[in-house]
Amino acid sequence: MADELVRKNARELGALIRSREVSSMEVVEAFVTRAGALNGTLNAFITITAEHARTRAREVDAEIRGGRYRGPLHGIPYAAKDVLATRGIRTTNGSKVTAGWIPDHESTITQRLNDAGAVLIGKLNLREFATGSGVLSGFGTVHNPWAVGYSPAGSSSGSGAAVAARMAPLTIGTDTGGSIRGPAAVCGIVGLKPTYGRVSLYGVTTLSWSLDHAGPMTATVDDAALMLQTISGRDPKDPGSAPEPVPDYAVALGQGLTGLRIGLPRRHFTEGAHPDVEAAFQGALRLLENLGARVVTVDIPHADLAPPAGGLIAMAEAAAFHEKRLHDSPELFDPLVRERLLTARFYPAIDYIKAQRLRTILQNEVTHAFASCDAIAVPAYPGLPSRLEKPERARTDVPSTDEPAASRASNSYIANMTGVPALVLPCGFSSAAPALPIAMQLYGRLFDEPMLFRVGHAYQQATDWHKRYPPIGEAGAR
Amino acid sequence: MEPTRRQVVQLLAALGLSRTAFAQQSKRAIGTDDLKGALTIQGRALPADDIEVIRRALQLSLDRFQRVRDLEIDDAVAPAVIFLPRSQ
Repeated sequence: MADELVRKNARELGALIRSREVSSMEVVEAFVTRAGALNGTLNAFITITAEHARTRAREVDAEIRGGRYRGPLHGIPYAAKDVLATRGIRTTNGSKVTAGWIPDHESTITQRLNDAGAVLIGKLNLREFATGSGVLSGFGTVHNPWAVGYSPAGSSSGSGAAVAARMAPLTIGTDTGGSIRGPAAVCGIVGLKPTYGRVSLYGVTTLSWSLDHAGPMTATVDDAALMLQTISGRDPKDPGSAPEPVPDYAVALGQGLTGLRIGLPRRHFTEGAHPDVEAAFQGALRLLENLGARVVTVDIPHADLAPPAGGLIAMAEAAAFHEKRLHDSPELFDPLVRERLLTARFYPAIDYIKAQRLRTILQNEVTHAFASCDAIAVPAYPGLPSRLEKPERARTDVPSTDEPAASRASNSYIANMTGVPALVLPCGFSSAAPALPIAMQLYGRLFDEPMLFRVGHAYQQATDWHKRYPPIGEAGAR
Repeated sequence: MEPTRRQVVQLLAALGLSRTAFAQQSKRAIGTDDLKGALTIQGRALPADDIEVIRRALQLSLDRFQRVRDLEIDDAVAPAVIFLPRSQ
């Protein structure tokens, strides 16, 4: 029974809980047990809040028995990247610097999930302070469930690994240059970086004020829509949150692709892609055409400048945010993270401003591209998941060498730089052993998450990549 | 008249050489003394071995960023940072 439950997505679990075929307690227990059993191998969780979750499950079950049903997330377990403040529950930021921090406030995202009846089962491991696509954490390295010893990418490493390994049906990640989408891609799950401002960042530890986003990481596009429905919307506590009304995302699901135009950038995004990635991506495009979409060529001329400019902005803002911590307790930072933050202290202000001016250019170019298409498709990541580096390399190497696939951000930063939403979903596996996930990425117009859900859901209805499970744990054995 | 950097890049592109390759050939060396001077301005100090590691890291970062520095941007383009004064 427990093995069957952990294989179900949130929408399916919600239906079972609502009809009282299973209780929230049964579902929570199944995921907490599995998370505990696999965490010694994967290290996806920093904290498993088992007792808190059981208490909460009892409460939400009692509500259902009493006739109060909060909605489709009522009773569903979730886990949050450990940069989301949770009142009374340790929030480490993946760093020894804040290893003992117990917030006295709740992030808006977790508050909204809790208000919807969802049950927090734990806090997830990450690259320290979410400072990049590597996996260095103050709480040990996360492994990719598809191949232990391989990178799950970062910084939302635990969020990606936990969903892939079915340790949690829903997780939250954050994304400053691809930190939701990288782990989603290499762990074979769905990751959504929403439009800038769509989801409140109140109570989310800052990396970069102008590039940070938070969003769902799930097994299916349907679940991502479900989760976004709950966490999005204006928040007076976050001045950067947007006042745009939140549509009913479920409406977009099932609308089909007939007549839609999928933009294919004519340069930059597929250059240097691994042959397996190229083949899987081309196969995905053909399928979208078979489903009724039309592929058209678009151009974002300066897209190749997004990663270096975005990286400079992100780390300059991060260095400013962490200045006091870096001064007061430098020895508590991972050496490589500390070096990256210290390095950013020397970025000239004029470079930072130029990078921000480039954002204006990129916004105009992306807007122009969307004049001739409804969504843009690119490979999520041009390479394949890499083997984990040994942590001891950090001190002897220069920053970014813990990211053997430095190009991981190459197809991601453009969405952070322009604020447009981006959805990653699996579209294949590598040909050589171990078989590792390959994903495509869809960009949408600002606040047009419904279009991404529409395309992504149609694709998943016609494929089974998202229904495959990594060969880890008893439920995942193939 | 010597060719401009833009003309050189266009020429290299025409020859099939990438801007990345060109940027790697045009590194401007950053010395440890440069960092020490900047630290003085910042009112900070760092151990010598830190400075060397950071020097190499900074060199890499700014080499990557060189392509953005090389971009000519029209005066009308403002940074994508907006100040929105609000009444409380």
